[in-house]
Amino acid sequence: MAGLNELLQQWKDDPVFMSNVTRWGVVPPSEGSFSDFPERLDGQLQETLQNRGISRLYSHQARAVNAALENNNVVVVTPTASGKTLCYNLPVVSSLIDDPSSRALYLFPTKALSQDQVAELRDLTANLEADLNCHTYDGDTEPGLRQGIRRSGHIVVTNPDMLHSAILPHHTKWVQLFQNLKYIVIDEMHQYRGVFGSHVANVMRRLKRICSFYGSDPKFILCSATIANPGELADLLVEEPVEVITENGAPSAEKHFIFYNPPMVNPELGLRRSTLLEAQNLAGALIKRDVQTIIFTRSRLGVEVLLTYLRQGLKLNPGEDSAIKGYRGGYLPRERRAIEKGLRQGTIKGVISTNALELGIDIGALDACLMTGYPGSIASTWQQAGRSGRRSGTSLAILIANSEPLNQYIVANPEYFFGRTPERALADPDNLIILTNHIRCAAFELPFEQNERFGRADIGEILRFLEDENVLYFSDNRYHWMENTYPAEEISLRSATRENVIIIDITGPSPRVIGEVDRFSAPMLVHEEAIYIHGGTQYQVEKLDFEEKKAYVRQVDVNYFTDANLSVDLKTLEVFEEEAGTVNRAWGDVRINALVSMFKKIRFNTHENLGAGPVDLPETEMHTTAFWVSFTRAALGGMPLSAVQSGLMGLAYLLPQVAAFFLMGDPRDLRAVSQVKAPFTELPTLYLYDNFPGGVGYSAEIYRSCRDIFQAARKVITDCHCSEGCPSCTGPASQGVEPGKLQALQLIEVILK
Amino acid sequence: MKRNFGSRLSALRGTGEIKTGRQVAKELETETRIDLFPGEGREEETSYGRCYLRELKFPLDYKHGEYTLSGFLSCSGPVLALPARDESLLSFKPENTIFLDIETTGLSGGTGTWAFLIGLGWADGGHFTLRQYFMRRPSEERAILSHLKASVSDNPVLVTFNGKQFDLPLIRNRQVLAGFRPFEPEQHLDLLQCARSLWKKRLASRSLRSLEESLLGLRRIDDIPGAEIPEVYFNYLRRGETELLKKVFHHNVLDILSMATLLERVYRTTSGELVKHPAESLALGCLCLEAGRCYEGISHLREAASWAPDPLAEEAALKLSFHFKQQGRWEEAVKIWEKTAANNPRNIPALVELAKYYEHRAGKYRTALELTEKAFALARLSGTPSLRGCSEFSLQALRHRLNRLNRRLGA
Repeated sequence: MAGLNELLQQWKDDPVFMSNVTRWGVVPPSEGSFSDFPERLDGQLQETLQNRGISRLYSHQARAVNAALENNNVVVVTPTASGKTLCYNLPVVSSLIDDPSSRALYLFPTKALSQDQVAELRDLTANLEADLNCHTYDGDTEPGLRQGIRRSGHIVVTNPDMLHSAILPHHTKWVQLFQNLKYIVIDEMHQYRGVFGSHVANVMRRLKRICSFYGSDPKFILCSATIANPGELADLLVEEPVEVITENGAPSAEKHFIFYNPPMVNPELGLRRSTLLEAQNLAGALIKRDVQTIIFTRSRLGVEVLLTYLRQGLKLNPGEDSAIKGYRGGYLPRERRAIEKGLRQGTIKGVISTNALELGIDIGALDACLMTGYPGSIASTWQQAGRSGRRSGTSLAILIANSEPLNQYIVANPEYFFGRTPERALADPDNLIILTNHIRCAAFELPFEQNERFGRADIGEILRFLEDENVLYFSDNRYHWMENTYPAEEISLRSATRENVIIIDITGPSPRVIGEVDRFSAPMLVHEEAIYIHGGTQYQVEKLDFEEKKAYVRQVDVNYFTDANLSVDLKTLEVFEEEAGTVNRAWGDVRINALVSMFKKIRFNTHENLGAGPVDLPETEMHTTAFWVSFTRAALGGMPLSAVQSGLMGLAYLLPQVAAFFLMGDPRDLRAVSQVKAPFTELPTLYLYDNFPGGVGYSAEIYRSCRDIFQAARKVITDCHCSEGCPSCTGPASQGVEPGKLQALQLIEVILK
Repeated sequence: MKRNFGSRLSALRGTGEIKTGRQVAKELETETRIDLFPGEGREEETSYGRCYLRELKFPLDYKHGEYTLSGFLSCSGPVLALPARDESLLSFKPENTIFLDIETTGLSGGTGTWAFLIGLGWADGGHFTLRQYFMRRPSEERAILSHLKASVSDNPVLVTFNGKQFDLPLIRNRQVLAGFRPFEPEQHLDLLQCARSLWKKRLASRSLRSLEESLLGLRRIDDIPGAEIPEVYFNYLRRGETELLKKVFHHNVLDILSMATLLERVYRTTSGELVKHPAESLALGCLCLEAGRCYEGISHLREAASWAPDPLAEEAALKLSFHFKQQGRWEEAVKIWEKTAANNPRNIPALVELAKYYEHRAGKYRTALELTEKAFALARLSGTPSLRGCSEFSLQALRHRLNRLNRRLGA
C-alpha cells in the first residue's frame, strides 16, 4: 500500500500533526502458528477446507476444535480476522456429519449477524454428502418456514431475546432440537455483560433446564473479543467448567495505531477541536491517496454530518459521491448489502458507520480505520480497529479523542491497548429482580421440584415468595405455574426493569419513538421543559406522563441545556464486605431515594444560568448495590470541610467515568453521591452505586479493584492541563461550590496512602 | 406487648382458622372424595393413578336450540370436506366422531397453560355421551391424559371448534410435558374453519356464541364469560371454591352440545338443504370453484347473483365472470361485466375487465380507452390508492393502461 506508507511518512515529518499524537504504536507483523487438522475432524470437511486452500488450521482453531470434539466446553478469545467462525463451525458440522440426528443452536446478539452466519454455514456445508439444514429463526423468519425449522433444522441460528420469548416457552414444539442438542454456540460473548449478561445467564439456566428435561447435555462453544476475564464471564454465563483458549495463531501484517488528541480550543473549558472535523481532514487525506477507509462515529447523526463534510471537502465530481457511503441502522437492508459488497470489491473508498459495522458483518478488510471518540471499551476499540488490516501490507487505525474524561484518560494512557487489557466483563445472574423474573419464565416452562436449584442459585425462598403471590401453586412437592399470563412477554433482556420511560418525538406529522430512559433517570432527563439531546439534536420535553411512562418531545434549536437539581438520599441497608482504617472502604446494599425538585437552564460555553423552573414529580426509590469510601478525621488531617466537599464533588464527577472503563460499562451505568456527613458512617463519604435495581456486580468489582481505579483517577487529574477542574477531569466549577480539582487529588492521595 | 401481625397470623394458621393456598392444596391431595356432581362423577383407575370424570347421557332426540343431537349422525364426508377444505375428511364417518373442547388456565398458549377440564362428546348405543375430565390437582394430569388417550382412540375422528389453533396444540403440549406421545388424530374437523368459510360474509362474528344465536336458535343464560374461567380454577385450587367451578362445567357442556348441532348446520348448509341467505350461496359457490366442482359452483354463484342485495350480488357476479374468463368463456364473462357496469357505473373492476377485453381480445382500442378513462376518473375520485389491494386497479396501473392505449390509437 504505497499511498498509505507515503502518507504515514508525511505525517511523521509534520510537527503539527505529531504534536497531536500521544502515541504512535506499531503492532509488528506476526507469522502465526499453525496446526494440522485434528484427527477427529471429519474427512469430508477436511477435504472441503483443502479445496479452499486451507491445509492447516491456526493453532487456536485446532485447539478449540479438539476441545469441542472431545466434549469439553470451550471459550476462545479471538481478535478480529482470526478465523473464529471455524472454531465453532468445524466441530459442529463435523459432529453433525457423524450423527445427523444431532442438533446445534447458535446465539448471536443481533439479527444481522445471524444472517451472515447462515450464509457462511451454507457455504461450508454445500458440498457435503449429508444434507444439513441451517436456518435463522427470529422475528423475520416467515411463518410458513417455522414449523419445518423446528422439526428439522440441524443448526438453528437465533438471538437470546428470541430464545427467551419464543423458543423456550414453546419448547414442546422443539422436541427434536432439545432432545438432540449437542452444541450451543455463543458468539460475541463479551457483549453479554451488565444487565444484558445477567439476563442471558438466566436464559442459559432455563435452556439447560429444558435440555435436561429432554435428556440432552449440550456443550458450549463461546467466542469473545479480548477481555481480562473470559473464563470468569463464561463461567458466569454457562455455569460449567470451561476450557479457556487465549492464544492467537492467526498471522497478521504490520499495523500502525495512532492515538490522536485534537488541539485545545478552549483550555478553560477543556474543549478540544471536534473529532468530526479532525476525522474529515484525516479521512480526506487517506481517501485522496486511494486508501480504503472506514470511519466510526458515535451517533447516527455523526454519520450523516461527516458524510456531507467529506463529500464536500473532497470536491468529488458528480457521480463520484458513490465512492463514499454512510452505513447505519435505519438504512434499508438492500442498501446495506450493496454497501457491504462495494466495500469487499473496493468500489467504495470510504464508509462512515456507527458501531453497526463493528461486529462480524462481512465487508472484507480495509486499509485504514478512524474512530471519532473512544468506542466505549478497549474490546470495541480493537474490534473497530480490526476492520482495517489485510494479510499482508501495512494497515492503520487512528483513535481520535474527544474532551470527555475517559477519552482524555485513554489518549494519555494508550499502553492499555498494547499490554494486557484491564477490562473485566461483569454480570450478576443472581440480581434478585432479574433472577425472580426468570424463575417466573422457567416455572412457566416446567414445574420446579421442591428443592430444585436454578443453575447455582438456591431459590427456595423465591419460589415460596412466588407461591405467596399466587403465581406458583405448590402441590405434589412441586411448584406449578398457575397464572393466566405469558411471563416472557413482559421481560426484556435489554433492561433491568419493565419500567422504562419511552421518549416520543412529536415534531413530525406522525409521532416516533426515539429512545428510552430508565425510570430512575427519567425525572432528571425528561422532566417537562428539559432539553433532551439525542443523536446531536435538541428536543424539548413538552409533557412527561410518568404514570404511562411516556415523554413527548419536540425538536428545538436553543443555546442552552438543562440541568436538574437532584437530591439523593442514600441509606445503607446491609454491608457485605468492608475494610476499616483511617479510610474505610465497603460495599453492600443501599436504598436510593431521588427527588428532582427544580432545574436550571444553562447557556452553552459560558455556563451562565439563564433561569430555573420547578419540577413536580414523585420521588423515585431504588434498591441497589453501592461501593463507598469514607474518610476519618485522622485521614483528612485538618482539611477544611468546604475543601472536602469540593473534593468529593470532583470525585463524584470523575469516578463513574473512570470506573466504567475497568468495568466495561457505560458511565451512565454508575452513579456517584457524596455526603459531607453521611448518616450511616457519620463521615465524609463518597458512594458509587450500580444504576440498576438490584445491581449487576459493579460495586463488588469496584471494591476489589479500588486501587487501580483511584490510581487511574489520579492520573486523569494530574495529566489534565486545566487549573481548577474542567469537563475533562473533575468537572467544571459549578455555582456555589469551589472548584475541586486539587481537593479531589488530595482525597485520592489519602485513599492511596 | 402486642405480638406483631406476622406471628399472630402464623399462630392462627396453626389453628386452621386461616387457610393458606398450600393448606388447601394439601387437603385437595388427601381428600380423594370431592364429589362435585353426586351421581354423575366417578373416579377411574389408570396406570398413572386415579382421575376424576363426570359423565352425562343425553337421549339422541334431545333438543339443543332448534336442532337435536342425533342430527349430526346423518352427515357425510364428501359434503363436510368442502367447507373444511380438507380432502382427508372425504371418508368421514359420523359414528366415529368425538367432539372435544377444553377449559384452560389461560389463552396465551405456551407450556405454562393447563387444560384443567377436558370435555368429550360422542354418540353410542342410542345416547349422546358427554364426558368431562377434571384435574382436581396438577398431579392427576398424567392419569387424565392416559385415560383420555384410550377414549379418543375408539373414535378417531376429532371435531373441535378452533381446535387446530388452540385445543389440540395445547393438549399435545401437555402430553409432551407429561412424557407421552402427542396424539395425531386420523381426521380432524375444525368447525371454526367451516364457519369462517361459510358465514364470513353473513355474520359479523364467528364466535361459537354468535353462531348459536344466529344459526342454532340458542341463547345462553347466566353463562360464565370465558375470560373469567382461569381465575375460577385458581380459586378452586387455592381456596377450595367450587361454586363458580360448576358453571365452568356447564359452560363446557353447552360448548360440546353446540358443536354437535353446529356440525349438522354446517352439513345442511353445504349440502344445499338449508341455505337461508344469499351470502351462503356465494360462499358455497367460491368453495365449489376452489375445489374444482365448477358446475355446482356456477349454479351457487348464479343463485347468489340473482337474489342477493347489491354489493353481494355484484361480488357473486364478478366471481362468476372471473371463472368464465379463466375458462375462456368470454361471451358469458363480457355479458356479466356489461350488466354489472350498467347496473353500477362506479364498479371499477367491471370497467377494467371490459377495457382489457376490448384491448386484447376484440382489438377495439377506442372503446377500451373510453372505459379506462371512466375507471381512471372513478379511481381518482374515490381517492383510494388501490382497490382491495388489487394492483391492477390502482391509479398507477390505470394511467399506464391509458398511456398505452393512447399510444396504440396514435399509431
